[in-house]
Amino acid sequence: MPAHPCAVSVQSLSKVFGTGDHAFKALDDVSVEIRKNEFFTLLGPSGCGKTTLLRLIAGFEQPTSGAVLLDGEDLSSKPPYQRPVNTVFQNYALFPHMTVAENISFGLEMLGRPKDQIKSVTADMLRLVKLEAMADRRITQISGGQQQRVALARALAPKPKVLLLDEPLSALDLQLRKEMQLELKRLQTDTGITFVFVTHDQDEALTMSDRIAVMNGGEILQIGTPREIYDKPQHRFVAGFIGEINLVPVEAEGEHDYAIAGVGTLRSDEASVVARGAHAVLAIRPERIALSVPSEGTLPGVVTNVVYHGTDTIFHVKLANGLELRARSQNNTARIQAFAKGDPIGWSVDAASVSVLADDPL
Amino acid sequence: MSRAGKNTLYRILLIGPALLAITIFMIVPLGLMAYISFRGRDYSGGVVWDQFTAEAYVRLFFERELDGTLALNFNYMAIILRSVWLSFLTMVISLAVGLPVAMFMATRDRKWKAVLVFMVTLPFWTNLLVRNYAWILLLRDHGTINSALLWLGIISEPLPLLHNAFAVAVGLTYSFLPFMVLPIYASLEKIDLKLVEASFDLYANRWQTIKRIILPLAYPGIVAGCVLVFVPALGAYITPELLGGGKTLMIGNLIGFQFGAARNWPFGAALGLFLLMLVLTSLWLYARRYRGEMERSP
Amino acid sequence: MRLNPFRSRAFPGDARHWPGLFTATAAFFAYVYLPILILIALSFNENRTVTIWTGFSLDWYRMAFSNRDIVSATTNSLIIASVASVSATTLATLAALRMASNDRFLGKTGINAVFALPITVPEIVPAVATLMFFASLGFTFGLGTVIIGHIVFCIPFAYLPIRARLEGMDPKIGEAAADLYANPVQAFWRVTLPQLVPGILSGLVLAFIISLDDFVTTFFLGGAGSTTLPIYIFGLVRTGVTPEVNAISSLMLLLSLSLVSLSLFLGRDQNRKTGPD
Repeated sequence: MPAHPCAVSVQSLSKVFGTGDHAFKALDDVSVEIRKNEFFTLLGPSGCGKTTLLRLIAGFEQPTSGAVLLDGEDLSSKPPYQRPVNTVFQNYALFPHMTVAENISFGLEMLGRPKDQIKSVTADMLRLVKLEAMADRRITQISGGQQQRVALARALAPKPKVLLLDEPLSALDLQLRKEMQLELKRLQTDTGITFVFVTHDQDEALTMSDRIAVMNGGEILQIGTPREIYDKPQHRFVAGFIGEINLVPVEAEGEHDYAIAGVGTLRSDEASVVARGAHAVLAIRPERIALSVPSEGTLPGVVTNVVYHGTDTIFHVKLANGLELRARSQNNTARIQAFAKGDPIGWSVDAASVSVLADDPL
Repeated sequence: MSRAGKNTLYRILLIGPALLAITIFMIVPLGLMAYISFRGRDYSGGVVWDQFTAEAYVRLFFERELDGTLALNFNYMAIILRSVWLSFLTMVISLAVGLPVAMFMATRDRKWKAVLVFMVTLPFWTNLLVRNYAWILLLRDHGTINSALLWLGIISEPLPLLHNAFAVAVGLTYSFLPFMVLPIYASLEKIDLKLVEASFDLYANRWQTIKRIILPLAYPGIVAGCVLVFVPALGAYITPELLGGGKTLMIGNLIGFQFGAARNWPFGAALGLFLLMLVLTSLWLYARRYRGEMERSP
Repeated sequence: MRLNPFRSRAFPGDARHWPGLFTATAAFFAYVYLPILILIALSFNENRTVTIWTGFSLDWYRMAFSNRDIVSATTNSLIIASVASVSATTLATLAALRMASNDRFLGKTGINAVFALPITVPEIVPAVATLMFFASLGFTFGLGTVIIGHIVFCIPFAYLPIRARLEGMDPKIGEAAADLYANPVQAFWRVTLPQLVPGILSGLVLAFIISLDDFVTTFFLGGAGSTTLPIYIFGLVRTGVTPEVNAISSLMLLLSLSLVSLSLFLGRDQNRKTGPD
């Protein structure tokens, strides 16, 4: 018995749209195991295949090859109306000719649930999303945030085994989006339903997810907890897509030592992914770079620009080999930052904060 | 001149001519028609202007015997009822045929939509008379359909397809089908396919989705299509004239007849007014219902 | 390789593909176009019995073109359609210029309803009403009365596409012209009108087709010497089906088809929404 029983098992799934010269491979041999009761996020830029993967799980598209299993059962031959999976659509897709309550009870009605059960579940759902007062309003008479909650209630009402969410927060303004992020997380914990969440927003992914799968070009590049994805990117694309990062080309000197040509040597805790003498890339987050006056144990550089951001300040540091680094320093005192444009400085990074990537093009 | 005055002047100069043309040559004649329907009949084809009489309306229901007594006469009522019935039938057939077509069109991509709309619209702009004539070629005793069926050995004698209510219904449907397809298409086209997916996602199968999601959302288009088919069918003249063969008359033919061989203008005027009222009532009911629909889903 | 571009393999979750719709649509188009195609095919039949195909022939077209009555009916049709469509389009353009603006004024809805009246009411009713009107005034029925009748019902057909075109135009363009020192008259001639031309031409062609095809109004308002092609065809059809009728009918069909294609081509960008997609 595995530690985390698997809710959705995606097995070598591929999806090709169109034929011949117009064929487009939206999903390329993707496999992933989504665990029970977890908040699982598919993160990637538009066109990376994340929505296609979601639609294949829901049953709106037919896979070109591969299979989707739910609790070990193959869903391939089942239409969406026979899959115990519900979707929160990007623009909600609420039925405009029905009231809030009618939208929420629709799924239960279609499942042929008894009338009194439909009524009580709908009432529960309205309470869950705090819309009791809006039950008889038309969809067009409520705000975007309320519509979002109706979409959520409508998809949760039939108690699906898995809830699929297709960028559900993208239509909301920033303030509301932040609130809904916490709300969604609360709902997931309360209901214990497995959430599969699609987004292109790295903040959303980091704050809400138990695990994240980063996708690009129809493939999953890395799966891990938010901390693993952020701190230990295993792929150049993952490193670049999530947060800001400095990518420094180096040559491996020893198991943990890497030489920056013409600058000096950096240490990493990570065991080298390349042989000694081979090229590699170090990925370093700007906030992990410590700046000081040039001294023993630091590497040299010159400040070329200082950009003030309120909570922190970004220093652009030019190295002797022409590479420019960004270092982020928190403004946790009211003191004016000591470094100005043109100042020579010293910089250092803790060995635990340096990721080593193979020097492949992407 | 003041700015407001100038505006009014422009308005009169620009809108005036067209408005005047329609008023003088359509609205005034319609008023005159209402007036004439209450005048006496001149047997040589005209009106006895100084005689007020409701004779034309009496004639709708009664026949005046030689001795002047009235006897119930259902002949005209039968024609009116037939017109309503045939128009209704045309509407129902058009709906049954048009709905799947509109739905097919609405689910194509942009390029195909444009092509299909063009293909549906095209016949409307071709000569109505010619299009109905084409059906004579098909429906005659020795026409295409009978010839084909005889050749296939399905029948041994030609079927009587022409000059009956069936032929008129076929012709009316043929004439007005685009009016059903296009408004339904227009309302279906606005439905986000995501709504259909949402319905599937919430355990509704295809039939339930059609019944609960697609038809309610296409309702305004369906009602518009029904009105746009019913109204012109009710006033049809050419189709019953050609395909009904003088036996399956409709109101339009009855009206025309009063200005030809029958020479009974007041009766023709009364029938015309009656048809006009029937049409305006249908339109008014539609407008009321449609507005109701608009309020429900603004 | 799929032969049918509309169909993919049956797949129950697909919102775009519904079983039976393709078949229904194919049947619909067969129903709509087969009669027309059969008519055209039979017009090339050398046989006099009309229905049975025996061989290809252009005889009926030759006969039609050498028939004096047909030539004069065609001339009448063209005169009526030209005068009626040009007059109706002129009236409609003037009205649309004022009606398409955003400002509201008393009776605007009513005026729009009046402009729509000729296409809302079954044609037979205004036709006989106008017949009585002209007769009461002592008019002589002929080309003149027919043309007046045609102008009236052509107005909405010209008015609607022109107004649609005007309403689709960006009002900012007029402001831009004014900003660039054009006075209202210059702005109209140099900016508004050039943009409106496709709409006007489209309306003109539609009005022309409608007039050319008309039977009912022409039948009731016509007199000696105003026989048009549809009236002539009607007369022939009532006496019996002949291959000549097929030939003239086919010519009328082709004329309408080419004109409507022209009109839709001219008016095509009025359906194009601004912005990408």
